[in-house]
Amino acid sequence: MFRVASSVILTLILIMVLLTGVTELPQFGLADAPPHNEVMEKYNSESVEDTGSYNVVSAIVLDYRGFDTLIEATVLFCAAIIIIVSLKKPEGESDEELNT
Amino acid sequence: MKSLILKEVNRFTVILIYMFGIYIILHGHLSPGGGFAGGTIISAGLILYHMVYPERSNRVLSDDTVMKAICGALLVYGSIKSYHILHGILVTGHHAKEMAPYSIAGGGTLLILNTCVGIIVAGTFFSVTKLFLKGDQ
Repeated sequence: MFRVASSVILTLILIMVLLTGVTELPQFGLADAPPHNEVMEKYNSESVEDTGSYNVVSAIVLDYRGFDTLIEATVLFCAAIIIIVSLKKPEGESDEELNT
Repeated sequence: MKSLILKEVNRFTVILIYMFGIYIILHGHLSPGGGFAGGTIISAGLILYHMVYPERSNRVLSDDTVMKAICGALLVYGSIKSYHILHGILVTGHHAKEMAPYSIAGGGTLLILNTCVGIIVAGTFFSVTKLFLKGDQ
């Protein structure tokens, strides 16, 4: 009973926090929203001189935000490791041996 | 897979799929695409090859080999990026561009970074799918 009640309360608190975050979002399509700042201009006009990449997406992903991509690849790597650790059977062992 | 048609056709299509993936990875800084897109295409080719020729695929690309490739690519990517960040360099291909504009070498280290990301993505998808296929049989 206590576990159920505590999990319900925890979930409600989480929902409240997330919904508070949603209400803080700027209105859709607003001209002076925070994403529409000088960063976009800089990426569009100066990325070729800055990085030597003619693909702006590649310039942002690998150069301006390169550290982000490193962590992204690490997350992918961790997912692979966890799946292999949890699913891989040892060589020469069958299901019956593992279950006994 | 026992189908003869699939086996014979696959011999040619797999090479084309690999070539397309490698092209997308190598031209990641010149045209749309990059490491993630190219790596996904290469992993699709690897999975197709594994489904048609399981024995040969297991012999050439064992779990150990794939894992070593992923770890090596991650290490190379991390060391190159850390070098750039520690030196405060935003620029990776600034000087290379002046020597060879609009070419593969024009991106400087972007080429290596894209290749590393491609290896990581392809290896991860391939090894995960291989595990799921193994459980299916």
